[in-house]
Amino acid sequence: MKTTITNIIRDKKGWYNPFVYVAGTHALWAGLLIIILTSLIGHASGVYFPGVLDGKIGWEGGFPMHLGLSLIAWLCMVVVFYPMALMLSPTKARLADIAGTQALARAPMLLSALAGFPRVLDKVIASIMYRFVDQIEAYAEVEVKDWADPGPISSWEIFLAVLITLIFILATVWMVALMFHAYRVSSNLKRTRAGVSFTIGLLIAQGLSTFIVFRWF
Amino acid sequence: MNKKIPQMCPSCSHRLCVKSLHCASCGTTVDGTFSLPVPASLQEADQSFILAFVKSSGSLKEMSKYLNLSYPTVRNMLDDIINRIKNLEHENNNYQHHS
Repeated sequence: MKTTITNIIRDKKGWYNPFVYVAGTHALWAGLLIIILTSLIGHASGVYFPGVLDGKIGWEGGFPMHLGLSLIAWLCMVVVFYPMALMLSPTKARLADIAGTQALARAPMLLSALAGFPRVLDKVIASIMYRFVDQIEAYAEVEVKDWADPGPISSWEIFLAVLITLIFILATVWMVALMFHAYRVSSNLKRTRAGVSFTIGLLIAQGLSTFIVFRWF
Repeated sequence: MNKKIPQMCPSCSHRLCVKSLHCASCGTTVDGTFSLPVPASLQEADQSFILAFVKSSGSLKEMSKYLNLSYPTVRNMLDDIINRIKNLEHENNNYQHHS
């Protein structure tokens, strides 16, 4: 395990394709541990993941709910990509490889979960929304908002909100890169075949996870 | 010095064939046109992989431990070598048909 981690760190491509060194059950246990950790941190910071690519802020659900959402996001990838790999791969893909590498590919969400701690983004969004609705009310001479003014926002809070948004975007891009390489290595697909099938599969998995979460709540 | 067998023509990039074989014991030289056997036509890295694979009794799990690579990566390497062997066999068949 120590050699594997050293190899991943030494390899320049290890940051977006560690699956050359780790896959199968090792990746599965590491990935599940990261998903549990992400859910725990997300539970504390108010960040949740209601879809394969979604990371949202400002929800005070219990830890089982946070964990459930993250597991749905991971399982949707497995449910979509395993049959896809079986159909398209020249060799028989293993379920343990697809499940393990896709679990580990969610590691960047740990960063997103941590980014929620300053608890600034939801305040900034609420403040912007309040002022936006306020202007519409003044223009249309109606009163629709029934929530309190979250108060003025400082430039430091705006800076933090932009920084958190950037972390969310970068973590998602990183996760998609990891997901693609997880699929490519596990299924031995190359070039256009890998790229096109991954894009289609990702859209299906995203749709499926959104549908399940929508039905669940 | 461990000399490598050149496989591709430096002039036209086509596959080279064996023109003569020499007996180091009695000095007899046999001239002709012989194609290289498929394992010898593979690149050195592929040959090393095949040797390691045979030594590990054909176990991909053992190979992944030996190479410090994941199981699917080793399996993909093997698949790529299988494809290259198939291509070489196809090329050799074509060559025999033409000569």
